[in-house]
Amino acid sequence: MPPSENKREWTPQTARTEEKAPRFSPKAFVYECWRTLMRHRIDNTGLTKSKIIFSNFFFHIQPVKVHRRSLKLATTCGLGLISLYLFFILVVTGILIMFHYVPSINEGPDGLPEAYRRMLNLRSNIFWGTFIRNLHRWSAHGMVAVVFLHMLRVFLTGAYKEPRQFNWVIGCALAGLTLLLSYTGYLLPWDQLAYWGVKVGTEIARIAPGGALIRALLLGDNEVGGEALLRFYVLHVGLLPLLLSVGIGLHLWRVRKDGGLARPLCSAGEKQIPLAECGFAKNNSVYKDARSYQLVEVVKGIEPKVDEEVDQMVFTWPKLIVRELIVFVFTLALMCVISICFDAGLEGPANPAIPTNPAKAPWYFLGLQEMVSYNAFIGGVAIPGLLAGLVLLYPYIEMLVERLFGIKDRGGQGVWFAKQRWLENLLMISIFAIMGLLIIIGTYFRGPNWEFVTPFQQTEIHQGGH
Amino acid sequence: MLKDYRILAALFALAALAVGLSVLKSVRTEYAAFQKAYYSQLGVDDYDVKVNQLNVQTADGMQIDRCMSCHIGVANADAAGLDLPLRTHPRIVPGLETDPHDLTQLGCTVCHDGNGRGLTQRDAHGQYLHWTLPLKTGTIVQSSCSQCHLIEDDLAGAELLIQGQALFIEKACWACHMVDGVSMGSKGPNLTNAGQQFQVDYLRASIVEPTANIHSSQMPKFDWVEEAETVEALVIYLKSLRKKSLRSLAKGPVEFAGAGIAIGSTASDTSVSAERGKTIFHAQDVGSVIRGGCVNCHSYRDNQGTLLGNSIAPELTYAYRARGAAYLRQHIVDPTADVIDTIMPKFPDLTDAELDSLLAFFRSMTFDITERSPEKLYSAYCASCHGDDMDGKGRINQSNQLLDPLPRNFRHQFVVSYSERLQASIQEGIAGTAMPPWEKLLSTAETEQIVNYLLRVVTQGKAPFTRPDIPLPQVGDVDERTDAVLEAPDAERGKTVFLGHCTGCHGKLASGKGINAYDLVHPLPRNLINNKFMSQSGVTDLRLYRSIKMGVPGTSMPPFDRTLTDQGILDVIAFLQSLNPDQKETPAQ
Repeated sequence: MPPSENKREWTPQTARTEEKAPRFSPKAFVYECWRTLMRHRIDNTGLTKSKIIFSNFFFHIQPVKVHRRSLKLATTCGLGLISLYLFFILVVTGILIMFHYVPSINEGPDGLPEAYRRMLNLRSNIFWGTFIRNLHRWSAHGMVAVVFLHMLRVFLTGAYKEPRQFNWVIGCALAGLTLLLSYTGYLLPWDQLAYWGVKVGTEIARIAPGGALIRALLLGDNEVGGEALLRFYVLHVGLLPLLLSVGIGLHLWRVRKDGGLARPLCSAGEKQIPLAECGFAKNNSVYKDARSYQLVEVVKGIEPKVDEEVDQMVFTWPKLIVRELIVFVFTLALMCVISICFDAGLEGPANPAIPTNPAKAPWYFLGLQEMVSYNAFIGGVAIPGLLAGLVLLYPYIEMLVERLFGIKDRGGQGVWFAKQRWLENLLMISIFAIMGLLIIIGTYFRGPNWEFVTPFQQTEIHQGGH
Repeated sequence: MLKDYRILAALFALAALAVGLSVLKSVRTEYAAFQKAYYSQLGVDDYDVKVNQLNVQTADGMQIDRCMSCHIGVANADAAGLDLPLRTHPRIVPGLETDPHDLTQLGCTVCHDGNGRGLTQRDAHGQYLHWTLPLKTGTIVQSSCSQCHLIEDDLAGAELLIQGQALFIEKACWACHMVDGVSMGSKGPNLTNAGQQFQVDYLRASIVEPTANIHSSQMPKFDWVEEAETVEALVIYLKSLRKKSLRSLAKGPVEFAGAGIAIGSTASDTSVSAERGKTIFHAQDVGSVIRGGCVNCHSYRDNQGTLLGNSIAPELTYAYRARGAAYLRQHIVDPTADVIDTIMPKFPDLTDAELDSLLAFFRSMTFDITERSPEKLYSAYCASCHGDDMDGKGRINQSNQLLDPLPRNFRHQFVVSYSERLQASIQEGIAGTAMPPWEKLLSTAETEQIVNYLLRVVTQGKAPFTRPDIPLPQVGDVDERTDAVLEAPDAERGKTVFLGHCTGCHGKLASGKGINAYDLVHPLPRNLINNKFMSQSGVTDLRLYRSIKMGVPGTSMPPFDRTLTDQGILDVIAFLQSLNPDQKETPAQ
C-alpha cells in the first residue's frame, strides 16, 4: 500500500471527519432532541428556572420570580385562576357541543324545533353528550359565580388601587361579558326555561332608557324567536368569546405589568411559606456568595427599583406553576364530579303561548327581577344602573375623593379587610350580601305569580297548557 | 414542595376517575340492560346491543322513534310472555286474525306520543316539566287513531273516540269552540290543535271544572261532567285534534283518504214547524249537521209544566211572550247586540227556516200558572234567576254565575230605596241585561203586588234602611267640600278623575273588567259602556250621582263622598255620558 494513499491533505472536511466522533449516547440524543423543543436545560440552576418561564410561550405571561405572598392560597383564593380555567373548560366543551347544535327553530314532524331536537339527541344517543352538556352548563353557572367572587376578593384586598385602577375597569367589563355569554347561552336549548328566562330578561331590559333599542338589536324581532336564537348563537359562540379572550389577555398582561398581585409595601409581619418549600435553586455562580441571578428592570428615574422585597422573591418554577396546576385540576375534577351527579335540566320545548308560572330569569338576574317586582324603574334601572356605575368607576371615585380632600394613600393594598378601608369594605360586602339575599329569595322563595312561598314547598305546578 | 406534588397527583387521579366514570355512565345505558335481559330470556347468544331507531317518513321529514331500543320485543310474537318493557304489543284491532298495523314500520310514537328520541324511561315517556306530549296509555291511545284514520262509525277499537266526536256535537261544544273543518264557534278557545297543545289531565280538568286552569273562564260547568265516561270520551276526542295529523300528509305510514267531518247543508230544507224547532233546540237527530243544541244551557217547561233542559242560561218558557219574535230572532243570531256581556255564542249559520222553526217552537210554549198570587208569580217568573230566597242565586245561578250583570240580590234591605225603580224594571225590563220586560205577562196591579211582596219578605217587618234623598247638584251651586262654585261638567276632566279613581274595578275601558274585578264578590263592577243599559230611562244622572257619592249597598262600590268633590262626580257623569253616545233625550230629573 503506497504511503501517499495514507496521507491526505488537510481540508475543513477532512478536519471534521478526522475529529474523534463522540460515541453515540442515547441520553445525549434525547437531550439533543429536548433542546430542539425547549430552549432551556434540565437542571436546578436559577438560569434554567428563569428560562423555563421566559422562553416558554405558555408560561411567559408569568414573571420569573414571584413574591412568596403570591403562592399562598389565602392571597387570592385562586378565584381569578378558577374563572380562567372554567373559561377553558367552557371553550372546549362548547366547541364539542357546536359539532352537533343547530340554532334553528324549524319544526320537524314531531312539532319540535330543530335546536330543541338537538338537545334531545345530545342527551340520548350522542355518546358522552349528557356529560359534556352538563359540564358546559355547570361550568357556565360556576364561572358567573366565581367571577363575581373574584371581584369581591379584589375589592376586599384593595387590589384595585394604584396602579391597577384601569385593570379593575377591564375586570368589570369581563364580568359583564361573562354575564352576557352566560345569558346568550341560556337561550340556546330552546326549552321553556330558556325561552321564558330570556323573555323575562329582555322585558326587564325594556325598562331601561335605550333598553328597547338594545333589546331590538339583540332579538332582531319584537319577540324572542328564530332571529333571536340566531343572534344569541352568533354572540355566544363567536363574538363574545373572542372579546372575552382578548379581554382576559389584556387583564392578565396588565396584572403582570402592574407588578403582579397587589401587596403591601412591607410583608415582614406576615407568615409566609418557608423558603425550603419553594424549591431548591442551585447556585452556579462563580461567586458563590453572590446572588446567582437577578432580573434587571428598566425603571424611570435614576434610582434602582427599591420597593421590592428582593429577599421575598422566589422562582416561579416550579412552585407557582404546580400550584396553578393544582387549581386547574381541582376545578376540572370538581366540575366533572358535579356533572356526573347532576344532570342539566331540559324542560318542554319553548312555547310562546304558554308562559311558565313563575317565569324566572337566570339566577344571576333574579336579584334584579326581585327588585323589579317591587318597582320596575327604581328596581330595574335606577338601583342597578347606579350600582354598576359605582362599581365600575370605583377606583376613580376613590382617587377623586382622595385628591379633592388631599388624603394621602392609606395603604391596605393586598391585605384582606384592611382596617383603614373598613367603610368601603363594609359597603361592598353589604351590596354583595343584599344581592345574594335577593337572589336567594328570587330563587327559592318565589312561587307562581311571584308570590312568597317557602322553599321546596309542594306547589301544584300549573304547566300552562300542558 | 413534595406535598404540592402529592396533592396534584391525587387531584389528577380524581379527575381521571371522574372522566372515566362519565364515560362509563355513557356506556352503561338503560336500553343496553333491557336488551341483555331480552336476549338472555329468549336464549339468543349472538347479538349486538344497539339503538333501534325507526325513521317514520312524513311529509315534514323524519319522525324519529327510538322506543324499540327498550321495547325491543313489541313486534316479536315470541316475547309475549316477557315483562314490560320487553313484551309483545297486544293486538290493536280487536277481532282480526292479523293486525294491519305493522309496528316495525309504524313505530310507537305515532300512537303513544312521548319523546321518540329519548333513551331513558323518564326522558322517552316525556315525564318532565312542560313536555307537550307525554306517553299516552290505556284508552287515551284511541285519540291517536285520527292521526291516520277517518273517524267513522265502523272504526274498530276507537269506540270512545267515535263517542267523543258525537258528544262534541251533541253537547254543543261546537257552539263556542272552533275546530277547523268542524265548527266555527268563537266564544271559547280554538281547539283545532288541542291535542298537540294540551295534556290529557289539563283537558279533563278544564271540562270538569272550567275555572281550574283558566281562572277567568266563563265556560259553564255542565251537569254531565259528573259522568266520567262522557268526560273521558270528550277528552279522547279533544286529544285527537291536531293541526298536523299524519292523515293530512301525502306520505303517512298508513294509507288513508279524506279528512274531517262531512258537514251537511240544510239550506234546501225550507220547512218551518215547531216540531223542527224542537229538534234543533234539543239537537236531536242532527247527525253531522251541526245547528242546534240550545238545551245544553237553556231550560223550558213543556205544556204540562215539566221542566226540561239545563240550568245554565235563563229559562225560556215565557221568553216568546215577554220578548217577542223580533228580539229572540236577533238574540239567537247575535246575542251581544242586546246584552253585551253575555256568554251566549252567536248562531249565524242557522237558516231562516231554522230560525223561524225555533221561534215557532218558542211560540208553542204556552205553559202558565193558574193561581196568580204574588208568591206563585214570583216563583214562576222570577225565582229561576233571582232565587227562591231572593238572594239572586236562582237555579241558573247556583253553580255557574255566568249572567252578566248578575240578577239582583233582594236580600239587602236597601232595595227598599229602589221600590219605584223595581216597578218599572219588572214592567219594562232592564235593557242590556237578561231581565226581560214582563208587562205582557203581568198586569200593573200584579207587578205592584210582587214588589210589595218582595219588600215585605226583605224587611221582615223591621224598619227598612233608606238612603238620604240627596239632590243632584246644579251648575252654580256651591260645592260643599271646596266652597267652589260648580262649573259646567266637562267630559275631559271627568276622564282624568275616572282614570284616577275608577279604573281599578271598572277598567280603563270602563267595561267593568278592571284589574280587581275578578277578585271582587259578586255582583261584578258595572260595565259602564253597556250602551243599552246606560241609555235606558232608569239610569239617570241623579242615580249615577247617588251611586258614586254614597256607594251602592250590597256591592263592592264604595262611597266616594270623601274622595271626590261634587264637581269631580259631575265630570265623571259627563264622561260616562260621552262614552254612551245615544243618550236619553231628557234626563228624568
